Amino acid sequence: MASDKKDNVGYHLVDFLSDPEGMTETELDEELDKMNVEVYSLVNRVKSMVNQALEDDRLAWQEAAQANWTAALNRLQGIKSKLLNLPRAKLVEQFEEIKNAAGPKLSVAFREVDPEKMDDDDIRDIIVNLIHLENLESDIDLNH
Amino acid sequence: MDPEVRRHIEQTNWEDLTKRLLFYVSTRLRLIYGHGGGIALPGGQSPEDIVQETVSRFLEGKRKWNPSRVTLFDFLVGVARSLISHHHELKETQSRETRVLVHTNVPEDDTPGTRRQEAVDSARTPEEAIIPLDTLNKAFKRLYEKAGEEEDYNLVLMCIEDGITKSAEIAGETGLDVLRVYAVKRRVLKDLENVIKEITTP
Repeated sequence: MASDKKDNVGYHLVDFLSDPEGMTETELDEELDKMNVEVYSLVNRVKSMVNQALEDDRLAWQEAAQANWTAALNRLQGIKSKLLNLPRAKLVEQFEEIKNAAGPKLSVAFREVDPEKMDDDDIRDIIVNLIHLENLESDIDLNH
Repeated sequence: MDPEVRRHIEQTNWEDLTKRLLFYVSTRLRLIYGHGGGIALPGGQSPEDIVQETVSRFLEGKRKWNPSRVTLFDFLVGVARSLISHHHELKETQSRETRVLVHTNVPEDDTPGTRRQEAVDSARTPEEAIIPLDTLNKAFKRLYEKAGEEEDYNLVLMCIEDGITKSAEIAGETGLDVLRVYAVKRRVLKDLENVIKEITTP
């Protein structure tokens, strides 16, 4: 083991000398200047790559959010289409079922809603909204 | 992109990090490959190319960084080292293939001055201009001569010999102030260049 260390001492030396830890900015600039390397064009290229990566990431997040939103709207639209075929008695039954199964906050918020005083379209809208809000609420619960 | 990684990317001083990485790669290439004059890999990649490729691999997520385990600089150094070896190995494989081609067309005679030996010599590739480990090891021994009786210099060399290469760790091991270790490092770098010239100049 000790012999291995001695055999590789040249590489340890390279590791030690190439580590810029502790160098001041001025020293670093002086050393790079001596090495005749293209510092500033490289720095600009790297900064531009970093900015582009951050921007791509931001757009990826927006695109994912937009895709989720579109998927949610399509799903709600699908539900609304299915509700179109239900008779009023079934619609009222669905509304009560969903309201009771919803979380406590939504159940309280919709407690005063009386489907008997609403037309079929309003009941369909309120069922779709309840489902949408229930999904949002579970998302929020998941995040916390 | 992981939010924690994104936060680090946004807060990093990329100018400083790029310069430090460039210093690391340039010094490494100069010490290992600099025998032939320029500081470039045998395949022609410059230190700037290696740094750019390193950052690009990190940003594209090809190399995953865990901020809780290693600093961004140390992580990028690891990527750069692996790229340097990759480019080196690639070139070495290509040159081995070239040598096989050369060898198949010459007589089986290794005597110096014969056609076979000339063919082998002519198949030498740029990476054979690398400062061999043996030369670096010899140079290290000479550094002890340069150190003479100077205690701090000797202590730093002893640490390097034991594989301790981080300045802060050397400071911890020897009790030297880390600024003193940095000062010794600057001297070692200067001395090493002279020593290598002495060893490699016929």
